[in-house]
Amino acid sequence: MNSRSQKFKFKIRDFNDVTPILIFLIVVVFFGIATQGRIFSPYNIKILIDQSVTTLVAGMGMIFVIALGGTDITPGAVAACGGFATYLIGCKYGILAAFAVALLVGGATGLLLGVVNARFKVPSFMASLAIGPIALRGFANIILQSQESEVIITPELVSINTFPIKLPIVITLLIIIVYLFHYSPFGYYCRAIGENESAVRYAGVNVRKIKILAFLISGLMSGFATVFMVSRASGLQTSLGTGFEMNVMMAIFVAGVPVTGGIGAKIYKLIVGAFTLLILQTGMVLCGLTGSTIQLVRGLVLLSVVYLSVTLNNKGPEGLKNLFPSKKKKDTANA
Amino acid sequence: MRTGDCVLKLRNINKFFASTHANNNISLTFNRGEVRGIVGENGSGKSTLSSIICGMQKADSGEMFKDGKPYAPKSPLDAISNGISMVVQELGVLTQLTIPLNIFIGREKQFSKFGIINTRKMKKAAQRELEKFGLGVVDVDDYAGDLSIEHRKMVELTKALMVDPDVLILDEITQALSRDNRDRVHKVIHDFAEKNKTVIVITHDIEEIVELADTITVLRDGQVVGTVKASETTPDKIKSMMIGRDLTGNYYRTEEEETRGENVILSVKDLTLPGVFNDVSFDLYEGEILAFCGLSDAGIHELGEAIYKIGDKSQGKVLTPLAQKKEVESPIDIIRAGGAYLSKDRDVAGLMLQADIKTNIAIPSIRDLAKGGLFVKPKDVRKKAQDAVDTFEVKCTGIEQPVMRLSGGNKQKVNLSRWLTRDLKFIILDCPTRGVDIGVKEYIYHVLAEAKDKGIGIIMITDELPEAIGMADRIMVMHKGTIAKTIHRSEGFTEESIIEVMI
Amino acid sequence: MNTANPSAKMPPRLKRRLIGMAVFFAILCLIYVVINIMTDGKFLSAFNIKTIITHAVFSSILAFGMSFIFSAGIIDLSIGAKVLLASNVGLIFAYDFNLGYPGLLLGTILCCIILQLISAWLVVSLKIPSWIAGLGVALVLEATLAEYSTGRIKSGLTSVINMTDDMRLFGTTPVMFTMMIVCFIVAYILFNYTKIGINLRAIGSNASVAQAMGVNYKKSIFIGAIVGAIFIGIASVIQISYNTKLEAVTGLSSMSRMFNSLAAVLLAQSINRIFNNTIGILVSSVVLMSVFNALTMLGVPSGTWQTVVLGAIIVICGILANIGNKGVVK
Repeated sequence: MNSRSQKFKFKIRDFNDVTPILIFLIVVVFFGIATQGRIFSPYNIKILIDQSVTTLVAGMGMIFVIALGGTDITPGAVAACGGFATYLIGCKYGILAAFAVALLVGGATGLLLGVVNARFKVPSFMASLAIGPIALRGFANIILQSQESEVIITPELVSINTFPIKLPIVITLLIIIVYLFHYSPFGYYCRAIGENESAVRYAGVNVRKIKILAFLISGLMSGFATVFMVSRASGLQTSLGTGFEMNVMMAIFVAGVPVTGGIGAKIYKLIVGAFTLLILQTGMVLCGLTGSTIQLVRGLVLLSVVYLSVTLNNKGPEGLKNLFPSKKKKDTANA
Repeated sequence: MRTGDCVLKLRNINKFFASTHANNNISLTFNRGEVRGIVGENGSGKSTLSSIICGMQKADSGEMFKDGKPYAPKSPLDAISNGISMVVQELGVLTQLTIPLNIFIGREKQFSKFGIINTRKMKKAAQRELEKFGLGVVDVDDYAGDLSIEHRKMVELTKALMVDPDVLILDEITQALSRDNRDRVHKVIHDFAEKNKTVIVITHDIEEIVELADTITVLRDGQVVGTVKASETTPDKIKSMMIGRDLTGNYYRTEEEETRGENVILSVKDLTLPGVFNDVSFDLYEGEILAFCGLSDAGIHELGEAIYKIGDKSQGKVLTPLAQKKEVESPIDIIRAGGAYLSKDRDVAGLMLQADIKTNIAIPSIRDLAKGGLFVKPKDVRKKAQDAVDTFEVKCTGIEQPVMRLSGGNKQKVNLSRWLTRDLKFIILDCPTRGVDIGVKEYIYHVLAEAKDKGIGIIMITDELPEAIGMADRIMVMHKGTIAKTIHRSEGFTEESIIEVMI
Repeated sequence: MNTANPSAKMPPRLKRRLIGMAVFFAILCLIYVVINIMTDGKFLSAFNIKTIITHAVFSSILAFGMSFIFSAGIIDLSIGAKVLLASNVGLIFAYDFNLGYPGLLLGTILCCIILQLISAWLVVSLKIPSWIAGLGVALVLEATLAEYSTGRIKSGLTSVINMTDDMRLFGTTPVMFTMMIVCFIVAYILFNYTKIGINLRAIGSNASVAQAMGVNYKKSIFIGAIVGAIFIGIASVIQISYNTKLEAVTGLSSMSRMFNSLAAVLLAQSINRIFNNTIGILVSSVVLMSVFNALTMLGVPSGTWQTVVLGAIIVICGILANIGNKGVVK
């Protein structure tokens, strides 16, 4: 009985592991045809990889929080507040200073969020909403308004945005994060907490410490992403980072990571999700759609993909029939 | 047995869950004034059957008749209007609502005029109902979430009784109750039956049901094995009907002498949890089984958690003389000293139900599995899990199977194996055989006896006296927060001597 | 609960509530008096109090509506977008279809109801997690309004319909105050003394237990959506009448429109040991607006430090609310 399952190691037990790749292929094929192949041009592929960096980097941190079952909607605000600070300091003091400031802002935010959630038991959604889009954005505006003269971005900062610098950094980060998430005790604990926090606590693990660390990592990675975002910006705009956390979350959930986290959270899903969304976005732009239409499609895509992911995972393909509320009472499998 | 007319009749009830034939052609008759026990191992179909009777699920085929008329409830409320009500096994109160709302939800119409509900009238009615059944100690102003688990169960019982059903179904109700409340419930059941009503009691406690019921129906693998008169049977006969074979050999330990090693492996000094227990002190020796018995307010369960140092409210010392760090300050110290703790709430504080067996087994040991404490190889995790599953003969389709698909007994096996496959010096177990069928119970006692022989010190917290009597070297009986009496195996254990100090 | 001594009774819940309320108001009064001194008596002037309450009208009515959705455990982040879209639909009914005030009310409220039912359907039937559903709906609704706006601009019109002065009845102070009181009373009764309120709270407490007790989950959520939508619609009418126009936005900026109400709902939850939920929402709304008002008076600019303060308040309330919480918090 036990050897049987070892033979079928790739049994499709979990639809959430396969759906992301399926959806990715569908999107690629669809837009490949719709843009008449233009989307695969070296130029566009370069743009894709370029744009994916910020989402991937921030996502690599946020996935720890999501694995725990928590929510972190601070990345956009970190990008704004940290971004402005990074921009200003980076222009004056160089690349290393830029990274330092960004990591500081991101790390401080993550630490605060982690303590408020783990130590003071404030639900992470509420806490990250208050700390991020509300409070941090306020700080961002303060920084913005304190600027009297215009600051022009230095070529040094812009150079961060080039492949020779970006690629090695991202790949290094990826290797570290994959290790941390999938091959270290810490990663196992994060995902286990998402499954059953009490059980992990009773197994003798210091859950509070793990949670704070997870939020810290999420914040630090947001900080990293901020530097890349700043280096692509042409100036300081109030809209810097708006909707960023939504992009990151969409990339993670669209690829089948359960909202409650747990062992369904995997790094490859983030990567697949990020590229799926980017191809969707770029494809739509290439097809000539306007900004608001693109947003419309993104919203619909988000809803459809999450619906597919949730339904297929819970019920298999038969579940798709249940689109409308039926009068029949559903059977619940009772132990 | 009080004979009365047939009040409920089941004919060829069948229910499938995917490929599992949970209820297989079940035909039963229940009479008025009868107290019927339904027993069976986990997976025998008891809960499925009761949920069909009370309207929570529909049978796939078969008919039911209430008072001779066809009965096919569409919901629990529908069943209640037909005179059948049930207290479910899982906790069924709404913690954020007040008690009157919990009791009357779904039936607010009697208090409402033009859609507006008179909450004061509802409160008075709730108070009346609680007192009617002798459960008036509960404060109706409270939110259900403020009550202890026992009192919540009592509220649920009141709710079920209040509708004056013809048939009352109690699913594992006494499991959560202390002796005094258990006696109260027994009285309620008897009074109910006197009024020519029917009570169906589903339980794991064979000894209790033989005492309590008029007749007992035994289920096995979804089928009815037989229905016998309680007065004409014994717990052992029931148990063999449940397993389908005679109980071979000994369930518990056979020695009459207590044995233990030389060294003290765990020492507790003046452990106090304000309001729960005071100044508990004892030493646990290697190779000794030390049992703690008591009512639910005796503090035995909280004692276990306090020894594990998992909350931070307890005062006093817990020492591990043979470990590197002598004083225990948090759970990790217990684990590093070679100890382990298993909570009685295995689904909440033990297992990750949606995760696979592999992950569940790995988590407590993940740090040790990691090379240099840093790198975890998936191969090592799989091997550890497979070894544990093989050693403990867990019935599953593989280590990738989600734990929630296992039966209660196999879940407990996974729960235990996570710890017992480590290099343990001592272990604290709270209700190790709760919700576990007879076959696995036997297996667990066997495993514990083996562990004792290997020199592992065992603290067993249990509310099953036969278990303590059967397995322990020493029994410490707690009463309202203090150790009332310590009995040694060589003195001879009797249930009476334990009960008289326990109450 | 003291299980070692079951006969010891806790002090009556009512007494603790009253003490809590007294302490709360005492502290509040103290702070208000201090601020009043700091602003040379301008803070507690009749005019200023009127201003505060005027600002509180929209956020409190919106919060009442949200309570019929959030208390069942559904987090809907698209309410801001619904306010935007519905109020513009109301203007279309009023002006383009020439239906005047009835059109304004009908268009806005009907639009809210339909949109909220769709949101409920996504969560209940399609089983999409509520906050993701909210984000998706917000994206779609914002985009829809933006497309409409672009269309108008292309035809040489203003980006959105501007309300003319003769239609601004619901933006006048007496009407706004009346609406707030009426909505409060209706929300209070509905939430605490009717079946739908009880059912929603039951679902919010434990959905599966509630269902086992006979609560119809789907029906309750849909009814809650309708009730909530009516309040949201009323709030939208008031908002558009006060502002005369509401422009389209994109990038989920519509969420900021509901932050104040969301904060009120969360605050009310955190003080629910002291105040009944509906009362708590009203109190929280007013207190929140008074805080912003005070900050503005003291020279703290809005959009910057004020939002920081809002964030800090939410965090502090969250901490206070969860002080005794020993359970698992995500």
